[in-house]
Amino acid sequence: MLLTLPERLIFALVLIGCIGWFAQRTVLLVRLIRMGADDPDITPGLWRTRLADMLLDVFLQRKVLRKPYVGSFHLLIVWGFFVFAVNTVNHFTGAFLPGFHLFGDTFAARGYAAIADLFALLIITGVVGMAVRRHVLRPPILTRPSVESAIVFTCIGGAMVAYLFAGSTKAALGILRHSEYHFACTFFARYLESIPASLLRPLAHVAWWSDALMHLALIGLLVIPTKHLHLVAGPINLLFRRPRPRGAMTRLNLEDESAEQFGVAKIEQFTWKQNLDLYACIECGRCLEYCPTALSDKPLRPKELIVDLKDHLIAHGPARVNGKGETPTLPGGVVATDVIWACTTCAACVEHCPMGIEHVDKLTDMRRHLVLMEAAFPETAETAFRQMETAGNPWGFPPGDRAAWAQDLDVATFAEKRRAEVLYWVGCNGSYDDRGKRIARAMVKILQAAGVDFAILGTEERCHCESARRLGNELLYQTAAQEIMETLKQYEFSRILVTCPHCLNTFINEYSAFDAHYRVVHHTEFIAELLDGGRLRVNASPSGRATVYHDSCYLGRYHDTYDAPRRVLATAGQRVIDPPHARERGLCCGAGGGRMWLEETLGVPINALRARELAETGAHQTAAACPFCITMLTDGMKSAHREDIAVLDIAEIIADALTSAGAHGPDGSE
Amino acid sequence: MKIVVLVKRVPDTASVFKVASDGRSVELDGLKFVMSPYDEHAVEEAIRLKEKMGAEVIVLSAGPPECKEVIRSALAMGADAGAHLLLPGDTGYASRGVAEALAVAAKTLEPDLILAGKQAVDDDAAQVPERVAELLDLPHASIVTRLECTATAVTVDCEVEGGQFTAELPLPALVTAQKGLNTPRYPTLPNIMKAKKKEIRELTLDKLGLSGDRLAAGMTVTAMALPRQQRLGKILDGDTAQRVKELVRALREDEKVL
Amino acid sequence: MSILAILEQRGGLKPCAYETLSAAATIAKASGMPLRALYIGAGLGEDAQSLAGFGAATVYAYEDPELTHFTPDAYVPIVVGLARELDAKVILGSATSVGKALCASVAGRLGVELAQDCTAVAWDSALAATKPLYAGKVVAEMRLDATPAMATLRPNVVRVERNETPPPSVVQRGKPEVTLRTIIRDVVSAAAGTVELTEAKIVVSGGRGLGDPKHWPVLQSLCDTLGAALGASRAAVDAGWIAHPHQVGQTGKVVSPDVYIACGISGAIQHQAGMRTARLIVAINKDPDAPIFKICDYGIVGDLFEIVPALNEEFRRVLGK
Repeated sequence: MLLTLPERLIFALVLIGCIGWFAQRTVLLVRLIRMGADDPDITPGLWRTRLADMLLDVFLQRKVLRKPYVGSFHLLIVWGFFVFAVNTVNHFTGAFLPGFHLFGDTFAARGYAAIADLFALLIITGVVGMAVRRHVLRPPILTRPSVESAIVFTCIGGAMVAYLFAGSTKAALGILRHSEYHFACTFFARYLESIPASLLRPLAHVAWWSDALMHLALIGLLVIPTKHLHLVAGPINLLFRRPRPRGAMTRLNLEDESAEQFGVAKIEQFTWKQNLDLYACIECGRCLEYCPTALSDKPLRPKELIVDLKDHLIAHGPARVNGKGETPTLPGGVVATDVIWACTTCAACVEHCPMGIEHVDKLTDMRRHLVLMEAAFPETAETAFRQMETAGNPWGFPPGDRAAWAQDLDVATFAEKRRAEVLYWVGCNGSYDDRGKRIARAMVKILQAAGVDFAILGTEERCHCESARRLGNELLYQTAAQEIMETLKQYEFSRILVTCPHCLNTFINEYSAFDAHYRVVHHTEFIAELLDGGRLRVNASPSGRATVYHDSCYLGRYHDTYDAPRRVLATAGQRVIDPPHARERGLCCGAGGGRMWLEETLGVPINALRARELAETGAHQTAAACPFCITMLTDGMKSAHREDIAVLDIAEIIADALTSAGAHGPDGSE
Repeated sequence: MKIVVLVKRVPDTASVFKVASDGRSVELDGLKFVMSPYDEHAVEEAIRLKEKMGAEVIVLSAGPPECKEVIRSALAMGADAGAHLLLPGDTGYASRGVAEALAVAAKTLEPDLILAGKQAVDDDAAQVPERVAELLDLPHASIVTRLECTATAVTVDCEVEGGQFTAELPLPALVTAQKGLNTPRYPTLPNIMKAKKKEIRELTLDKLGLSGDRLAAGMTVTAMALPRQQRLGKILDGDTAQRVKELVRALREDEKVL
Repeated sequence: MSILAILEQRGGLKPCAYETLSAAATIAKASGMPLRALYIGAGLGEDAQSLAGFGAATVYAYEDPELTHFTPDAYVPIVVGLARELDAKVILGSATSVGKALCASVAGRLGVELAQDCTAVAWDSALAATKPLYAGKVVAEMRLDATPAMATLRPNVVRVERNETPPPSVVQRGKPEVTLRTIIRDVVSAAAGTVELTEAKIVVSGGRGLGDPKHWPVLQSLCDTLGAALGASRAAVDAGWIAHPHQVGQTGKVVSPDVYIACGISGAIQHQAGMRTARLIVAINKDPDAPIFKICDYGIVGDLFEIVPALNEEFRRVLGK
């Protein structure tokens, strides 16, 4: 037995004190979370899947390993954490029950000795590796020099050193259990053998205490809290991941007469899950890496948003939960309105966050407050809102002109036809924008060539106001949704075809919250299907133009459709090039989240940034599959003085490549 | 202080209009209706006065039952109450008849200040507010871009071709709003919900002791036409001098805009 | 019985006063009723001579320094009184701010019908008027059967035609005995070159085709000639060539002028959203495929640096500047 009686007494007091403090802090942290509103999106059930997903994310570090260097080091620490949990129990209990071991005196205990030693070394490797990256190499996404992270690294690394120190002094004294398995401790013990026993014994006490205190410090770092809290909050956050699709914004109950607040103005108005998100942040900065606003020098940097909100919660939440005061207003105060309006909702942050944090909805919830409660929003948003409301399109074009683009095309409307296999939802851009009309006409050419039985809604179509919803105008969105669902109810069709990923997301992911379920297909997928089924034949152009494909956020990250557009392009003989930011790492065009209707006055224009990147691939043309992207990138190419690179929709490229032999006449004949 | 705002329900100007089968009216089916934009400025100004100096704002509209929607949107902006003067039919009222009925209705509300848009964007008749003022024998000012109000008088900037003048009118008075007066607010959701509970007084010609006969117009529309549905799209030919000459001629003589 | 024309003044008689008188003369001739003119202002003076050639026998001139500026208090009783005195069957005015307010007030007092802002009037056993509705998207032909029938005429739509008749005799009258409740405090003429974009009758806009911000004077001098406001496309604003308040479009100002002259603007949908309600659109662009040509009334394909100065010269010539 190493410890003396007074030492044991002191340790008992220290332990009781710490446990008391930990408990108090933990209760506070939990109360801060429970202060949040109910989260309607966390539906009961699915626990098996949730648990499985969480365990896979934690033990296999699926998302973390997207960055192999830092991911591998982190993996060592994570596994080490579980290994050392056992050691901590043994160490603390051993102070009072000499020789205590969770695994007793079994084979497992002996094996554990070797594994613990191994992981002590691996964790030190991991910590050094990560610390070097964060504090020496310092990649651009790790901007804030963080004392906190230095402390955390020091404590983890220090705890391991202390463990080895304690083990080796014990080994040198010959009182280390299973010492033959503690290969690292016995190795270091050799260097201590020369120390006289009279010195070695006090040294062993010092080592024991430093080991114990380092472990206590690590637990303390959790509940202070520091970002170290992520190791508990992260897995819990992953476990409570919202099961709804990424593209489905929470439906607000606008009929609730008793509701006094819509959207979020104060931290406690976030749901408990949204605040749990804050605890889970480890400040890894992956949310910054593909963030269009961070990359274009705008004030919104998702990591800083989350950290600021967390600091705010910890600083002002306790007074509120203890009934000693109100929390300050977030929009315009804790979070600048420029930050709130900057987001394009591209979800690059959400996609790459290893902790399952949802950054976007925090911003859109604050937008909801600004729009619904304060009517405080950029002037140009109002123009779009009013026109969407009265004219049914964001530009204020006459609703009666909606089908004018198709006048000479022999396109039937549902009003005439009542039923058709496919409802082609043209969208506002395809209906009114000259550029969009060309895409709509190309789409019709393809549908007619493939002999698809389709019709449009014509003047019965209207804007679904998705961009208004993302700007916070839930009322406008829901009013439009009701109207559209009523219209769709009148007709028979089996699928809705859209050429806009925002329309896709609306119908497929958002209308289900209104109990309207549709089969919806994006035109790139639909064209792929027609090609695969042999209903459409294209000339694989032998020239093989180099085409760089720009992933739309709402098609890619919101809908996981990455291959269909590329496959379609390849079929048409295009040599498809991926830009550096592609697929899950795609860079937004700058128009999402209603940004299409706002001025971009801060930082670098996102569309120019993206257009330059696309141009630098050396491609002859750019292909995209979203009208917002096409508008933004066409402008971007102009401002980058690369008007030589045409920006085309995939439908246009395919319509151009249709073989006359494979094309059906409008009546379906070959 | 009591402010009455006259508002009108009109088809949204972005609409595509069609002439109805009688050839003498506009097809109203399928059109989206809104508050006439100039009236929104009037409502906004009334609410600002209320916020600044305390006032009761009552919105008055005459027309078919659907007018209540427009009244509701004014209530959602912050007006206190509404009054709806139900008129038979849904269109074809003459400004004279409507103004006479509105004057009687407005009088029952005992306003200190009446505000209205300078014109409604449907028939562009541009006369109802001035008629109401004259019928009630109130001093009035038209096409106002700035307004200041005290307990006894209102000072306004009126827009005229090539300039403006400032006028001071003792209350009660009537003022018509021009675009530059203010920026109408976008209603907040809580105010929209509150507006649903606000009172809209129902007025009828009978209740006001008016006869429907006076509504009948002393004027008739004999024909209605849509002058130009499409843009001309005329690309001018010739050398620079010829094209420039032709353009100036066309603008002056064919279009009569310069 | 008579036809009464209200002559608008601002200092001297305004051009629209002669247009109103000319239209009234046509109606007087067709109806066989005598034509009378009405002047209210500080003093008609020599302008009375300029009223020759319309067949008006008399101009009633209500002259007083207090009548310099329009107030309903002073003007309305004059028109109402004279209309009754002359048993006017038709009263015509100008569809200016003042003319419309005055006629609306008079119509209110008299309890008669009024058609504002007409583009044509005629006599067909009653007053017939052509009047645009719905911001000019619809044109109505109307008959005003009850008398007196009133109408105001949009300036610049009536061609002034004169005959050999002599100037009218002037019947001078003073201001009526009324209390002026409205007090005119201040009269300001709009400074030249500061036309507010959203309220301008004419807008001249420049876009990327301008090539460089140093070329704005080319458009500015056209603005000066026409009294137009200067606008810009988003591309020009984004390039930093001009400040954002000049931007016309979805994320800028929405304008509905009588004439919109787009110079070197391609006409992307964002831009169209800000100007498509203009009554007339003139496009000048060197790219014949520019979308602006699809929505224009008059288009000139060519170099704006050649076209715009020539256009400016031509306007200066015909406008006598």
